[in-house]
Amino acid sequence: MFPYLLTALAAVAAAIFGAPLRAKAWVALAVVAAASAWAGSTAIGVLADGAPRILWQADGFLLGGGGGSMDTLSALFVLLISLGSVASVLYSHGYLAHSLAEKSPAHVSLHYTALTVMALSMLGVATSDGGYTFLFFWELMTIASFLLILYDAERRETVRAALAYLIMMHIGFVLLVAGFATLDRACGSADFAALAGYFAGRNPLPLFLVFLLGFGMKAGLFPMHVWLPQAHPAAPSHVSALMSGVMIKTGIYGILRVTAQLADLPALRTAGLILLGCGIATGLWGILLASAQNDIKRLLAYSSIENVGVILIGAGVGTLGLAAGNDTVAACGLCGALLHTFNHSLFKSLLFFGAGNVLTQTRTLSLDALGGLGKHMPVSALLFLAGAAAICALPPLNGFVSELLIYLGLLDGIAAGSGVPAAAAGLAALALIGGLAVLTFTKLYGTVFLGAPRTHEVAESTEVDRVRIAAMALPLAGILLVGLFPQAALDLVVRAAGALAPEAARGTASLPPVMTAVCRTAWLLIAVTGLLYAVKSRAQRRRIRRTGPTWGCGFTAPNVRMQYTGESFAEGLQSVAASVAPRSGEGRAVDKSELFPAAHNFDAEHKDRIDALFAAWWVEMLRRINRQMMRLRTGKVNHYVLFALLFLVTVFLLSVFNLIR
Amino acid sequence: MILPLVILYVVTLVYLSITERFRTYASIIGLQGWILFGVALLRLHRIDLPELLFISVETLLFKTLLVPALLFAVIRRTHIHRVRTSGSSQFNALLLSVGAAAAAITLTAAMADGNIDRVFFGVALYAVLSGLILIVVRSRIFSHMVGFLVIENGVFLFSMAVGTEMPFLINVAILLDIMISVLMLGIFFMRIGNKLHADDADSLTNVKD
Amino acid sequence: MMTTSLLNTLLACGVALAIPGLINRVRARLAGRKGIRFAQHLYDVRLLLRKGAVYSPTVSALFRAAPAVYLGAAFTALLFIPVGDLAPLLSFDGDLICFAYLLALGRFALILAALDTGSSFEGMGASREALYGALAEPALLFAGATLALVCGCTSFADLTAGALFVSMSGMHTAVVLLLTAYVLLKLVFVESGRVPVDDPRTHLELTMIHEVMCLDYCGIDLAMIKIAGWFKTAALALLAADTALMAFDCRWWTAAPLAVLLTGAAVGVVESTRARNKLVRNTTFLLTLAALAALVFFTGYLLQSDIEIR
Repeated sequence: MFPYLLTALAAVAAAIFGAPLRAKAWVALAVVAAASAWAGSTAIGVLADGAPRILWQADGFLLGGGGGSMDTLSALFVLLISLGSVASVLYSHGYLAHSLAEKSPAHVSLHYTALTVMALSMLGVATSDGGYTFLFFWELMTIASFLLILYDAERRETVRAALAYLIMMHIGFVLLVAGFATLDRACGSADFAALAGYFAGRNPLPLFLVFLLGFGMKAGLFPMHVWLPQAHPAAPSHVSALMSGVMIKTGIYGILRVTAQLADLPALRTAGLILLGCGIATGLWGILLASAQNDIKRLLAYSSIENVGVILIGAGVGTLGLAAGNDTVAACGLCGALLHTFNHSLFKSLLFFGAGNVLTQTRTLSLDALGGLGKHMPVSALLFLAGAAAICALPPLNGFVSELLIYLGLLDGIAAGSGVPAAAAGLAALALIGGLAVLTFTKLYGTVFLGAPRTHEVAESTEVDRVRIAAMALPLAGILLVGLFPQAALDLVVRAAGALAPEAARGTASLPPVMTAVCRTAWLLIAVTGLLYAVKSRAQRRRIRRTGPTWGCGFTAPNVRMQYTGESFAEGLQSVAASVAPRSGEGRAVDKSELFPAAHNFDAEHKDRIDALFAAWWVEMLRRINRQMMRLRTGKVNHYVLFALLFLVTVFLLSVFNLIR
Repeated sequence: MILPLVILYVVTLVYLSITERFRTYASIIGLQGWILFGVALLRLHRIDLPELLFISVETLLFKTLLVPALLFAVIRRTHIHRVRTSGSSQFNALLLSVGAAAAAITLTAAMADGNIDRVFFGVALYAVLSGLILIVVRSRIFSHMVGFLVIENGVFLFSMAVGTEMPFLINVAILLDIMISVLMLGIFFMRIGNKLHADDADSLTNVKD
Repeated sequence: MMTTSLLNTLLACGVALAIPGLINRVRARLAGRKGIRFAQHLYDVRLLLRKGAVYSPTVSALFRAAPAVYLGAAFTALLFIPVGDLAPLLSFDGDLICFAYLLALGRFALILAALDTGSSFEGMGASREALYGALAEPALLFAGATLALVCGCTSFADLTAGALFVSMSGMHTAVVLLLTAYVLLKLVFVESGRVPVDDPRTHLELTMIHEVMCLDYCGIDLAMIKIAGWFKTAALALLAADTALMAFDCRWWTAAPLAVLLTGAAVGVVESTRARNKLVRNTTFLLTLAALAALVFFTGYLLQSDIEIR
């Protein structure tokens, strides 16, 4: 198996390196599309009949055997990965077209090879049975994404972000290796299925926590999320879309697999509470920091962290329902979490593609420089609006359906009287997160696409090419399908949840009527709105319509820089949440005594406290160690002779006492 | 009938963290006195007359009438009106108060015991934590005084949580505490305050030599 | 079945049209005046519907479409609310969430329209509206969660159908439900932008939230926004009236008048006697509301677990 894999990778690399510069994207797309088509069709087959399928069985694969199979949960994630990868590679053709002239062909080939390898390794992660094959594909995914981030390696902050990413991913990797090694030593096999036996025998919580931390590092759990807001702005937009939309979900996949093995144990309730608590903390932290950002990609990165929190709230609720024996709550929670995973990959990819459009057309991502792009890039603006409305969970789009399922799990738990305090905390947190998401995304969309352009370079931008629009249309189709036909989506997700917990499938009996009613409400909303708009347009044709400047309250010289910026929009929230995202920066406001104010500069930045903690702690420790070491550097040669003598004596003594051989 | 009174008491504790004027503090302390009087009457109608008389006098006379009157007098004499000198919002104080309520509920649920009345225990714990927050977070001495009075009200509720009899000694101790603190406040403001012009604990650091 | 739903919708629309008139009349009487016509707000909207429109060159198609989205969302949200024990037109498990998010959709559209004009006044209103809307969500959902806890079901229609009360002694249920009704009534103030959150009569940009977002609208657009505001107020007022009556007898002929009377009297009295909050204090006001809602929820939970207060 391993030699086949290597030859396949070599063939792909050769094909991409050999292709002409303009065609590299199409070669990569062909490979990824072929792999996705095969995986996708297998996944649809598995979901249709519900029976798991064995994909490969390798006995000599690295350390010990390993196999790959696809059950309904893997099938859902494989579908997610296929859609995300194809859209991302399709988008990269138009996105990288302008920079192909600046990079060497080898650089571009390496990038496309890494893109292909990443897509294939993510498919491998979702289908491995566990153990060392899983870890092999996981590491391959990390290395491929590291290479992908380094596309703009001539910039210093890109290299720094990529190195920080690599270090944190390997910390998570070490935790996962420790977890799988413990499992292997205790049960003889490192597959996921062996976890059930391990958990039944001894205290499951330590190993569960190790796996949660390891997978949570990839998923972006609080407080291990610090790599996300650094890596996403540094990477090209299609890579950010792939990482945020698809790669993070592999972490969620791991967490769900491990939690599913805890079934029927008293520790399931503790695990559920841990997941719910982590979800609440991650969600709140993510959205509070997202509302403070003034760079499009950093804002979207923090929003991904918030959505991971929402997914974990759903998983926690489902687990608590399983522990309490309440099938409806378990079904709603788990189905909601899985559907939100799928939905998030759709709308986050769409939003990152939109950000990429803005970057290539205006060369800036700063909210303080953009504005009024809706008139120059109408199609991108409309697609971005759909993505923003979907991520705020507004009906009739798909975000609403998945969050409704999670809310239903919480409300059913409260109505049934089981786990009420936890459910109430989750409900309040989710409500607050939803409201703050509306604030964040109206800030983002309003400052970037609406109003008037704040700089003249932005006023001269144009719409993007049609291939990129087609790449954005793929997630949009998913958004509209799930939002307007939620019964089909529920069916899909129920089958996937059945692989996690069979009780979940039993508890979904009451859900299809809810989804039908949601579908009816969505269509009614669209019909009513359309009717009102049509009536208004017809009526206005018979009335006077004029054009006049925006009301300025008698102010004689308004200019575009007086519009509300991103920072001022979120200022109300930041003044109460100042402890979470402290503001630092330079410049001072116009003083009351300054009667004829001169020009003032103002630069505000919101830092992440956890980021400072991580960086500060490591730097402080290294400084202290360094200070101790510096004492030995006296500068006199006779002291160094003494050190050499001491070293020889130590080695001699250790070998005499048989401590080293 | 006790339930609405207890709910009203908790609501006054929540409002204590968001008020901006000292007059409201004094009014809230008076209202808490009335509530405790009502609760005491409803709970203790079984026991004998002298103790009932003593409790009613204690709550009605001291907590409801005397202490608020003294507080209002101090406010009038020293012309202090605002709790915080800056105009910013009390959001963080309210968050702390809600956190204290959650902590009180969790602690009460953890200490589930058959002997104590859990509702009174939880509310009393929240009252004590509220008073502590007032003392720790605010810088003006008047606020510290009000915090101390809130703690005393909480201790009163604790004694009710333990049983239906009111240990005589505890009530005398509470009365003594209240009297001494109000006396100290009065002395401080009337006598020393004229000389030092300082009602802010931060500026009192100038006094030490 | 269909006729009761239509009757429900008509009653809800009637409540929506009656509340602003009663508020104006109460305010006028408290100020010693006779007051304007009871249906003056309807005449104002009729005047607006006859007018044309002035659009700024800064705005895009979103500005023209936003009032339709706002009114559509508000109307669809109103279709979920039962009046007394009548069945609403739309109902499913968890429709409380759909109701809350439809209101959020309307808010989303209006905020984006305000940012579209490129005016700093409207940006000011938009940012405040976004923040206060976000902080009011937990209060609304806690109130809904209390109803779910007390009645054991998650749909508005099932709540007032009155069959499923969980075992709580009658007086305790009544207390919890009345407090929930109080929280919902306060939410009417927040959602419709009344004193003490906002003053709908000042048209000075520095003191407003809702009104300043619609500064650039006129004619049919402004009429749609006003009507949507009435629908939102009516929806929350009907919820408050239903909750208050659930402890006793919840028929449609008691719920609809109670909704109008309660909201009209409360809003009229508060607007005549209190001043608007300092805007910095609004966040604290909303958090206090959420804390009260949480307190009521936990009281209900404690009472349900049969912890008795002797």
